[in-house]
Amino acid sequence: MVAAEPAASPDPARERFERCFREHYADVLAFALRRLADRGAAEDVAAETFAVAWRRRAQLPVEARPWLFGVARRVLTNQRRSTRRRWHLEQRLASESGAAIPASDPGEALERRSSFAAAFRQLREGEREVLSLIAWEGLTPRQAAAVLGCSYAAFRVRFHRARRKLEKQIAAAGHSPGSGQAAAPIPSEEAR
Amino acid sequence: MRAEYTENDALTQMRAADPAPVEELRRQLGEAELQEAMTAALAAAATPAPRPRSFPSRRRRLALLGGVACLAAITLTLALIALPGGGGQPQFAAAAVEVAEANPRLLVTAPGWKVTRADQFEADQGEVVFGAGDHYLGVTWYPARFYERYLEDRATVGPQEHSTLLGLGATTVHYGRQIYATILEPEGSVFVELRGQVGDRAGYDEVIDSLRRVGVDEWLAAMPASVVKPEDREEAVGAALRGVPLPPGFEAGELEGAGDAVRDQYQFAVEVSGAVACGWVESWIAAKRSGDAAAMQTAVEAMATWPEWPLLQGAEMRRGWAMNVKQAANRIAHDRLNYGPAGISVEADGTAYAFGPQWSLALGCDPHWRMPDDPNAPPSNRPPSGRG
Repeated sequence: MVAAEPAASPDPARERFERCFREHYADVLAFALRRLADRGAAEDVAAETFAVAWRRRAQLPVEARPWLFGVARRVLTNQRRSTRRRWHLEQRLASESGAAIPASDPGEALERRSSFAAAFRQLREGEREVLSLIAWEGLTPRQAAAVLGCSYAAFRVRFHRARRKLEKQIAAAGHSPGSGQAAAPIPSEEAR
Repeated sequence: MRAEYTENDALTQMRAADPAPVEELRRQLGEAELQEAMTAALAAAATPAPRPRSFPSRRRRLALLGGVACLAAITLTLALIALPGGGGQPQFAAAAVEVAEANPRLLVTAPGWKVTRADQFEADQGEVVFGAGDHYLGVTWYPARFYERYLEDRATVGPQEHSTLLGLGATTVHYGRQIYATILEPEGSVFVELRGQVGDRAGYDEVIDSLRRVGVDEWLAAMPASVVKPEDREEAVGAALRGVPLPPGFEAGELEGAGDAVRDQYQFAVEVSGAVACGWVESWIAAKRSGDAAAMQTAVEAMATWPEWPLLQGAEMRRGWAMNVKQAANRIAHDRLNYGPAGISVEADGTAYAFGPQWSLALGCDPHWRMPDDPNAPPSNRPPSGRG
């Protein structure tokens, strides 16, 4: 570890943290990047997320990825809450200068001119989040439900609604589902 | 239930539009970037409870950490020590042999596998990583007295499978995502843990079954070919410094003989170019103290040639260590050398220490300072500028 002096003796919890970090840092950074347009801000969120993991290193769950996403969501929420006032100021300044405003919810980092992005942005933030956890974070429905803190049954309902709505928006945008693509299941619980 | 979650074109399009494909990110994140990110996370962990202003505050701290990315490269202990023998083969020095004799000397013999990393080990603790394409297997050894502790920790990962490997009791756990780890019973003063991602369980088993114990010479000889061996060192240093302006008092001879060390190319580049950069920055500081503007300018101009230095070429180098040299060059050019802390070290008990100065640690220069980290301490509590 860069910042730390060599440990006097091996520390399994510390080692688990380091391995967890190496295995999942890219996942957490990607999670943040999908919700923040700014790379630096996304790295801050990832750092805060793993700071929590470090403090809880003795109790890191075996299935760390969904847990880390849950922590990252709370970090994002806190960040948005604490910077809301500054965000309003930035928004006002940006509207005056024509500059882009950093966004902070699923899909905002999408290519703005793509028609899919236009359809996706028609969804509510919660709907985007439900779909993102499945399509981008690659979680199973049960894991995604845990991240959102809702029941599996409730997640199923939200997921189906969001998916149907996205299909409608894509169709409305002239991107009706193609016929040549093979259907494949989304990751099952067993595959994770 | 799975039928309900059938893929459709909407989700397919969504996946295709992923603004942050994680596999691409993994490719971008080299060791230096991961180390920097881990430093940032530990620095954040060392910061007191989140405050409304924590983001700007931490951003400043991250800025301090910017140059530390490759500090690991500096602090990694030397891998092997070898001496040129009278014949064609190097005769390994006593320290290297001691390491080799103490560790289990396991080599993966499965086709296509080779040692990809072996840059840090001691007699009773170290790691050699074998790789084949995207697959890897780490062979780590620890002091035997920690065996029970590790076994208990790994028991929390999931169900354990018990078997025999290399004549020793073996305990295997599954970390998920096709990562498996196996702890072998202690043998002598150490025990071994294997950990790898080899496609699936059958692939993992096949690779660990191919592990073979070898002799001291064979094991040492299997270390990566990308090392600068002692017999090549003088020539390598000479080539590395060709065309590089050298700071006052710089002795290339000291580098040529340093430790008779066998290092990989990256570590060698860090060592040699770091010595040059340290010399120039120290020269700049001395000139600034004495008010010698001409000498300051000489140092600035010399450091500005870093993009031409032979050792700082290549994409990996430019993304990693060379960024530290570039940053130092820019900072002396603008009289903005950073004497503040380079980072925070967090002990296992949670105690935090600040260490620095930033410019010195970023370049691997000596000496450094280290002191308890108190985020509320006034600036006067920090070491004075120029120290170190």
